Amino acid sequence: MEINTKKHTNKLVGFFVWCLLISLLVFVAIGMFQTSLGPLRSGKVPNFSLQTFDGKTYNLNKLNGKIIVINFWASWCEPCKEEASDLEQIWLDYKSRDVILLGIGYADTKVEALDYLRTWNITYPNGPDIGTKISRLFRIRGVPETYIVSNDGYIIKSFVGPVTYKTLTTILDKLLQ
Amino acid sequence: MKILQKALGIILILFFSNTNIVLSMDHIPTDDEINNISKDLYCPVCENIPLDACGTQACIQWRNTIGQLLSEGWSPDEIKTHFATQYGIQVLSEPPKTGFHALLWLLPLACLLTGLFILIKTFSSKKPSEHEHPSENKRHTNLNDYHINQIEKDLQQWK
Repeated sequence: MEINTKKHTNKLVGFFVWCLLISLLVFVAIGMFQTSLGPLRSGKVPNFSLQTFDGKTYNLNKLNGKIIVINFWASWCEPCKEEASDLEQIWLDYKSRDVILLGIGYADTKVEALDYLRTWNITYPNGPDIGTKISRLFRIRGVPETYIVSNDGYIIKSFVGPVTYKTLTTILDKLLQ
Repeated sequence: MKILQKALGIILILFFSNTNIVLSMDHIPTDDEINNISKDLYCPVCENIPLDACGTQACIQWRNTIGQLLSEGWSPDEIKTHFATQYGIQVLSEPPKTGFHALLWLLPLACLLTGLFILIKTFSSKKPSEHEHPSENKRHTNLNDYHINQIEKDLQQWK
């Protein structure tokens, strides 16, 4: 009887140890898999909610039917300055044509971010990436990064590094046809 | 007497108004105070470099924010919590010891204990203890005695 109980306990402990080891391996494997994936390049755009610096909230699910240009930037990022005026010009030229531009400040401080927006006269919706949740959804590797989302919610094109007015308008014009 | 009371009143008013002025003055944080907090924070841009050793524009801005918050009377813990909320817990050098993140502290300990358990189990099953097989050990001793006697006999015969 005592031997049976001991065997049973040993089996239970063994089972627990194996469960722990397997769950650890799964945990590590998921982490490695996510790291190896790299930035989002295609597929359905992940849903997120952005609260802008002026207090408005934009939810991606509620922007269905619009072409969305998502731009990750930061005030400390030099290449972001190269594209700042081009992005603003795109906003001014396309905002009446069912295109929305969302700027997401990555790892930035509020004072400097607002200063950057003022310096470059940026008027399109911009907000901070609180808790770097949005940038993790897109698995961005740095700034600037830009994503173009079709009106049915799929990522059509993504750019690592600064974009130009010409490059973006070529794609937007095609999508609007 | 009335003049004295008035004078005392004026002195008291002046004293308390001065105290208020002193209390409301912003504390200017030193570099050491800022670095004390900075060394426990990592910006997501420069991985593996603590904020106090990082020279990028992003880190400089973050250190300025720390200085600003310190001058507003925030405590180091409040500042670290603010940064974790704003930029995610990956900016902290040590993950929080509460909630789901406590797993990060408990898992290594659990692994160590499991490893120890496996080691103990493996070695104890390979080495049979004396009280589990006493007869076997005894037989070995007898066999040795027998052999020794036999060898001695053989040696005497050879002589």
